[in-house]
Amino acid sequence: MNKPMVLLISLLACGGVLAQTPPPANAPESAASRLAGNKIDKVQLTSNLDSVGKLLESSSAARQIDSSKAPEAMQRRDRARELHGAAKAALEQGNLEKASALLAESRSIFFDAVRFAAPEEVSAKKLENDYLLRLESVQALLGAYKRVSDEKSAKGVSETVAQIEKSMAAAAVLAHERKFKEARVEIDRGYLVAKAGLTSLRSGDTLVRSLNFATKEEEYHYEIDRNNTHQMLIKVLVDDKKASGEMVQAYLSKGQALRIKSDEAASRKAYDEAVKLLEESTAELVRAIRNAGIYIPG
Amino acid sequence: MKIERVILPVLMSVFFGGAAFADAGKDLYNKTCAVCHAAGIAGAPRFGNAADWQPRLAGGTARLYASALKGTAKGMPAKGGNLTASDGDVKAAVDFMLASVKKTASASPAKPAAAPAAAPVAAAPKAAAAPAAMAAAPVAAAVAPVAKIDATANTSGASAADINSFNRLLKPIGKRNPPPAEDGIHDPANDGTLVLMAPLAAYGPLPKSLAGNRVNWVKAIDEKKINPRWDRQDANAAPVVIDLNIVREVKGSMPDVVYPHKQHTEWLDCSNCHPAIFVPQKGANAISMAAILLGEKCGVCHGKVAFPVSECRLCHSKKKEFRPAQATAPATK
Amino acid sequence: MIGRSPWQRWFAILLAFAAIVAFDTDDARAEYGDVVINNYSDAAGMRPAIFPHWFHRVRFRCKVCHADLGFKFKAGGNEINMVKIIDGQFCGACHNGELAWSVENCNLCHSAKPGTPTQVHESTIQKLAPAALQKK
Repeated sequence: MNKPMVLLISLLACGGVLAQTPPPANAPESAASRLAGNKIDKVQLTSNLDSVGKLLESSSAARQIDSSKAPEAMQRRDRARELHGAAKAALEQGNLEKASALLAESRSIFFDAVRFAAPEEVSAKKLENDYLLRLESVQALLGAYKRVSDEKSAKGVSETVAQIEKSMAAAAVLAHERKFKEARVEIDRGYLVAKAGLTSLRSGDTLVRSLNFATKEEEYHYEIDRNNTHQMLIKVLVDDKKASGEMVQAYLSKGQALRIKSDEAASRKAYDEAVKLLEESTAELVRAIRNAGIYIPG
Repeated sequence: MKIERVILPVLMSVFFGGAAFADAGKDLYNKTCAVCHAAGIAGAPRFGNAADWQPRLAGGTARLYASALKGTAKGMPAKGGNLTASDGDVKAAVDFMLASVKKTASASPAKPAAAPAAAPVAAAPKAAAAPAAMAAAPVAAAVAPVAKIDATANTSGASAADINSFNRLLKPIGKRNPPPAEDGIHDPANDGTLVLMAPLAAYGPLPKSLAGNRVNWVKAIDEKKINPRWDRQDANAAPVVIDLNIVREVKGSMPDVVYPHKQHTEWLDCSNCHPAIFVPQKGANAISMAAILLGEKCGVCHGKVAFPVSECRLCHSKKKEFRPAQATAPATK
Repeated sequence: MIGRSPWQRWFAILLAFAAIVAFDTDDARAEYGDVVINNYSDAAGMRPAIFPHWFHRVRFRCKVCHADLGFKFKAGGNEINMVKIIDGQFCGACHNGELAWSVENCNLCHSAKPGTPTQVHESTIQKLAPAALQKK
């Protein structure tokens, strides 16, 4: 880039900057407008100068510019460095207004530089991740939809399912070509259909997840989860100092002993006994936690 | 325990406190006004800062009363957002603030943090005062002799508040929803921090609750006090709400849990929870209070952003019918 | 103590629990739901960033950020850095001078005391076990 071009670009940037920061006069009041309206403070300005310096040299954005080697980006960054140096000089001379304006400009040009530094690789990972998460959701909702429509013998189900599956297939093709942005748009269509379908089927219902377990074995799994999560809680809540208390230790060991007995009963398939022992074990763990001074509901 | 926190502010108020003004004004100031006027949030004229108040005094006190009572376009909410305060109290608070600038060489503005406002212990369990009261008695006795030291009327507010500050488990009103500059994690030496909006400035018109932000967000949407966007760009997009209740029976004596999709889908999308947090299938999710406390399942949001799990009855809302033949757990204590 | 009947004891325990959960941890009393993000800030020499949920939920529903924009429900779990923000992802999707103020206002976000660890302020686990969290 030759000098006149640089000058022209920086002039344009100047104009752009002065319009950008501070926010336009007719913008609604916000933290930014209040910040811009503040009196310029030397201490703050010095620390801001410092921060912008770090932004220019050592931030993730700076590293991105370095690695991209894009000429527009490098050139803008150099311009930003110049402005930053000028701002520093102005501050040292005591011209706070000028320093502040130059600093804002430097920041703005640097941000422009980053936009030229081809951050597609940076965003690609996120787009892929977003697409995969959305795909998971659609799959879960589709599964739920099929189950619910069976349960309710609903009409128009097959068309809806077909629509969703078509959308998923189209998205998969796009994803295969690594066009994740388009894939996400496509899968969102299927997602909305699934959402609408489920909403229309399930609205107004009340489902009860009762404690009448189908088998004792199911209840055993329920209780195991309870017991495990309480043990996790103990690890987190009861630090070493509290855990060394006599009472706490007593309850803890009792709880663990009961759990061992319960595991043994379960291995014999004596789930009735196992469940009862687990309940007692969890109760002991709760007592241990309470004795350590943390009142959790039982 | 934290006796220093009781004695020191009291002694400081004696030392630096000046004329005895109406308690009501000072109390209201500590409770409501100090939020903004102590640090000068959003351009509020600072307590004790003559320069800030000078231009405002020129308009006369009547005008200041009107600003305080009705609010101003520059950001002062009517009655400081505390619409339960009486007009007389508000005027007294204004007087209190004006008095601070008419004195010369007053100490640095009394930070609400140092002298927490008088918090009626009403918030503390009214019914089961037994355990709290027993603990309160000996400490109150310890504080009483200190309170006698300060004879001036204006510190009685401070000492009443300090009495409550012994109860480390309960935040007095002055310490709830602090503005960013005083909240302990924001850096007050940062210019950005000082222009950030204080939560209380926004919470004024919103329905209150007892925990978390102390705002009832569900009610706020229902009553149309707020209308957050469903779509980032489109301000008119309507949420897709599903009205589906899931009842989870619980062992022990707590009422059963009712999970309402309706209130949740006003805010959230299906994909927020399904399937990463909850599998959308009956019987597929094992949830326990311990898991919730650890920040899993319901605890992913409740206890972090949504109301905390101290509000038991909001979820455990369906009373059990008497089931005599229940073979499962004996009622846990 | 009290506890003539199991119900009274239950009630007392519940209230004690409620009190515990309202526990005021020493200094920090920030607004509930404030998220401090300090993945890279300390190393970069900037103040950690603070995201205030309360301010945003008045204006946007959870879905907008957590479903549409891809924010995970995890403090520090999104690996947000300035490049992504300037590119218009995460915070940059709105803080671009159009929907909200431009991200050039560094100090409005980077406003935490230096060294504050990544956390959801006043979360249950933080209140119940601050010591345990430090270990993590």
